[in-house]
This record gives sequence, structure tokens and C-alpha cells, in this order.
Amino acid sequence: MNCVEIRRAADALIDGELSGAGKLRVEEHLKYCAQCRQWVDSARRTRDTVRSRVVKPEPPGRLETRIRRALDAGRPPAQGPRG
Amino acid sequence: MPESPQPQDTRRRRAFEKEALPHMQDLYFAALRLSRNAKDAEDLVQETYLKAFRSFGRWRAGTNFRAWIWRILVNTWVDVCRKRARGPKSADLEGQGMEPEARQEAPSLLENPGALDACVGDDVLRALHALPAPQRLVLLLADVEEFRYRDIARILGIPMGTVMSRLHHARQKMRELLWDYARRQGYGGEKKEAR
Ligand SMILES: [Zn+2]
Repeated sequence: MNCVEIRRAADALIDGELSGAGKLRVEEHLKYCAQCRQWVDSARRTRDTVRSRVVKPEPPGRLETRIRRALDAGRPPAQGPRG
Repeated sequence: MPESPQPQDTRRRRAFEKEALPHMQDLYFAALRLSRNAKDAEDLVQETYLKAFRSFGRWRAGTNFRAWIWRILVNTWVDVCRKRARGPKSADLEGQGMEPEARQEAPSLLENPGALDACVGDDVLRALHALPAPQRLVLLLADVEEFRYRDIARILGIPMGTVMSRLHHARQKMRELLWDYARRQGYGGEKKEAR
């Protein structure tokens, strides 16, 4: 694998989505290629920055009310006897 | 599954709420990122829940409900975009394919990886919104929601290979944007900054 391929695989590596021979090949390359190591490190930091900085706001209270109301009104179009 | 007697209705409703309501905050966050305003985001989430409820009978207990309802959110959003665009001119859906140009390596960031520590939540949101929607979505799924690639492929209805290349481009773009923000805040030891 060349450096371009390694960098393409970097995301899968840091996400734990590589296994077996593919993972070994990337790890072997990283042992002797400092630039790809830097690349992987920066990909990981980018991901971790996103992951750690995002704060999800509490949804407005009316949203759950809206949803419940929609569910009340939007039950499956049952032709059955319904009061 | 049109015909369901009343007591089953109630049970179904309860089972649905138990599965679905805990995901509201995540779905709402994603909807905000996709819709760009709170009202549309609320509509999107509500529509998602309604659709999910209607097809709840097709969800098999024990399988991944979270991925299932996320897929409904994505499909609902795609529908909304299509309807709104009423034609081929859907800006949000454009770029479903890949960005052809190879990104350059942002060498300064590679040398100053700690610079990203300067980025705050608003920087991340701003960068997210600067991404084309397909990249924004894959980044949300992988980096915010921490879905496995397999589930992302199912949610987006695309092959694993596409998930990987899209995520690769999204992260590269994200890295450039965050690096840019960090640098503007004076981090990262830009040589030109010296005056
Ligand atoms: Zn290399």
C-alpha cells in the first residue's frame, strides 16, 4: 500500500473499522512512515474535536407535545371501528 | 398493517414511545443541522416520528431501532428537499457524489495538531454547516452519533465504500475548516503572523 491508500484507510483505522490483513498492512506502514502517522494523528484529532465539542441542545418542550399529538391523529389508517 | 384492534393500538403506541422518544434529542440535533432553522427541524422530527410510528410494525424487536429511525429521518429529509426543490435544483442534495478534486494536505495543521484544541463548539457547528449536505450527514453519523460504518451504509442507503470515501472527504474538509478557524484565532504558530 502506498501513502495515498494508507491515508484513505486512516479513517477506518481510527474508527476501529479495520481488521485482519488490512489493519496489519496499515500498521506496518505507519511504523516506518512518519508522515502517514502525522496524517492519522490529525484525522483522529479532527474527529475527536468534533466529538467532544458538539453540545446537543435540549429540544423545545413543545416538540414532544407536537409529536404526541401527531401520533394521536396519525395512527395507521385503520378502517376498524374507532370512536 | 392497517387493521389493529384498540388494545393492541395502545400497546403498540406505548412500545413505540418507549423505543423512539429517547432519540428525540439526537434526531432534533441532526434535524437542526440539516434544516438550518428550528421550525423546519421540528417539522422534520415530527414527520419522522409519525412515519416511524406508521411503519413500526415493520421494525423487528431486537434489531437496531436507533439506526432504523435514523434512516427514516434521512429519507424524510430527502423527501422534504425534493418537494421543496420541485425539480433538479435541490442545493441540499447536490454533491451526492464525491468532490472530485483531491484535497491538499494542510501541512501546517499536520505539524501543529494541537491547534484544534482552540476550536470551540460554535466553530464545529459552523464548519459542519460549511460542508455539503451529504458530507455533513456522514460526519454527523460517524463522528457525532458514532454509528458503525455498516449502520451508516444502511441509514444512507449507500455502499460501505461510499461511506468511507465520503467520510474521508468530509473529515478532510472539516480539518481544513477547523484549522482555518484555529489559525484565525491566532493559534498554530503561523510564521506570517509575526509582525
Ligand atoms: Zn506513508
